[in-house]
Amino acid sequence: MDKKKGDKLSVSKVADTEALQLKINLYSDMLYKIAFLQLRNNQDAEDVVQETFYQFIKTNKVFESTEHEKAWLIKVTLNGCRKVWRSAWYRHTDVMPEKESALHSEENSESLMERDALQREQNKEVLEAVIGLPRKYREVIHLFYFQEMSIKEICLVTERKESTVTSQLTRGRELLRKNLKEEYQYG
Amino acid sequence: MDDFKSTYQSAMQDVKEFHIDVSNCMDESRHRRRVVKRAQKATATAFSAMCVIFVCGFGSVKAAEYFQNVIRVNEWGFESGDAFTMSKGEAAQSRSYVVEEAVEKEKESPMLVSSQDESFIAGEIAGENASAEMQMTADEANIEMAGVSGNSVTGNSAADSPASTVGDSERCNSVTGNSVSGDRGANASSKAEKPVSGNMAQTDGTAKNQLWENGEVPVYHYVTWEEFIRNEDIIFPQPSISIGKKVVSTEVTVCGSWAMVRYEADDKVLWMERTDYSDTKGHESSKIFPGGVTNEREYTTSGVYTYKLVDSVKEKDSDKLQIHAAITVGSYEVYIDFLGFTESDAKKIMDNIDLKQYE
Repeated sequence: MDKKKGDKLSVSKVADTEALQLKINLYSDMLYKIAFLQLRNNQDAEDVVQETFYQFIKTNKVFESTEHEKAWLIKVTLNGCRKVWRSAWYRHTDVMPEKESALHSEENSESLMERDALQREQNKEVLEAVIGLPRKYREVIHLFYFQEMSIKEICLVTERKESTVTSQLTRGRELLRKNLKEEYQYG
Repeated sequence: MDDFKSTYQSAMQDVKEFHIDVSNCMDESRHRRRVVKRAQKATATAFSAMCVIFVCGFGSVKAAEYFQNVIRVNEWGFESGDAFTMSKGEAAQSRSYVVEEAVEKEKESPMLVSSQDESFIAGEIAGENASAEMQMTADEANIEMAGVSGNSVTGNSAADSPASTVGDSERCNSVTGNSVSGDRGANASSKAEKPVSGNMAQTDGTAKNQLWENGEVPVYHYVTWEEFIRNEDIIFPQPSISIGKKVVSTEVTVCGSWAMVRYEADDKVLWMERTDYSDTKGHESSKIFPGGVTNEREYTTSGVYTYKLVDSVKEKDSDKLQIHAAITVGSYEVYIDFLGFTESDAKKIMDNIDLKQYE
């Protein structure tokens, strides 16, 4: 009897772990990209994502929906990024974005070879332009254009007013237009 | 025109994919290490900030202290200056305070020997060789005080007026009446080299006249306290108690930041002088009593102001007791000379001067 109970527990434990791993697989890349864009640094971005999932597991929060869960994870990731860049060391260190190592992993090298060199160059230019934006604009531009979140959803995640998010988005676009010499349409 | 959104999304796909294992996320030790590291960084930042604040605060306090006045007693009288100058002087303490010329008796003697001798109380100025004695006629006082004032001014402004007419700008001494007499003309330049006395400008008649003629600092002389009050608006608190049964004479002299009052009552004489050094960056002065001083002691008034008392060395047993007091409050230095007063009287008078006004 006890053994069966023990088996049941271990099975449920395994199931929990598997479920957790699925969730992590689902969100880890997304959170990593957000963190990388904010911190411009691989190591710090990985640390922040790991910390986010640690909190996710520890709090064992029950979410109303997948969207709610996603918003919570993004919020915790952004807060984690703020903790890092608030540190005196980070403020006084010029952290250069690790473009090469982040952009060109070995796994993707074949696919990258196939892509148009011009396209690659364009991508690089756009990414650099976004990374070069001030933090608050970077955040909003990424969530809007990459995560395809609405203004309202961005407000919930960033805990800012709608008008603030709108003006930050507008200002971010202006800066991008200036840096990218008006080559793009910002729909 | 390309679409920014699609280009940006394509660009983000180029960023390497990140995968993490659940076991890594559940790693408590790694989490604790991160927390500890964050806490250490925060502590280091806070500690550094506190150190900076402490050092800056300490430095500010020390710097402020350097501008406070210090009065010390040596074998001949008082020497005073701002703390910075005095500390510099301590390092070069090889100088000796030597009175070059012999103290001559009678008229030239600045000794406060006898009340009958009119020349004793700072002496009447009898001719150009008289010292900067205290009791003097109004005219002579004016002339004398010009020299005094000149000296006081240069004494005040070690940094401001380095071009003292009598020599070393750092040796500017305040003239305070009890200075050594003698051949001033001869001694002026030599005295300029030594912090002997504040007699410099007076000993050199030429220098004194130059100052006076140049009109650098006007001197005002008043024969009553009321006249002084009417014409001047300076801080100069007086004892609130009577110094004698009947005040025979009162004379007040003002020259720039220096002021002196002389009271004669019964058979006693009281001089009080004060100098305001607030406008100077540094100063050094001395007040010398011929024959030297002895019995240095310190007292505190009821207002918690500490002052030093010394006694002039008596040449004869019959000499009257001369007590000299010195105190510094804020940017002011105050010297009081008691002739014929007892120690108890002197302390009472000190206790009844509102020194708080100097703060």
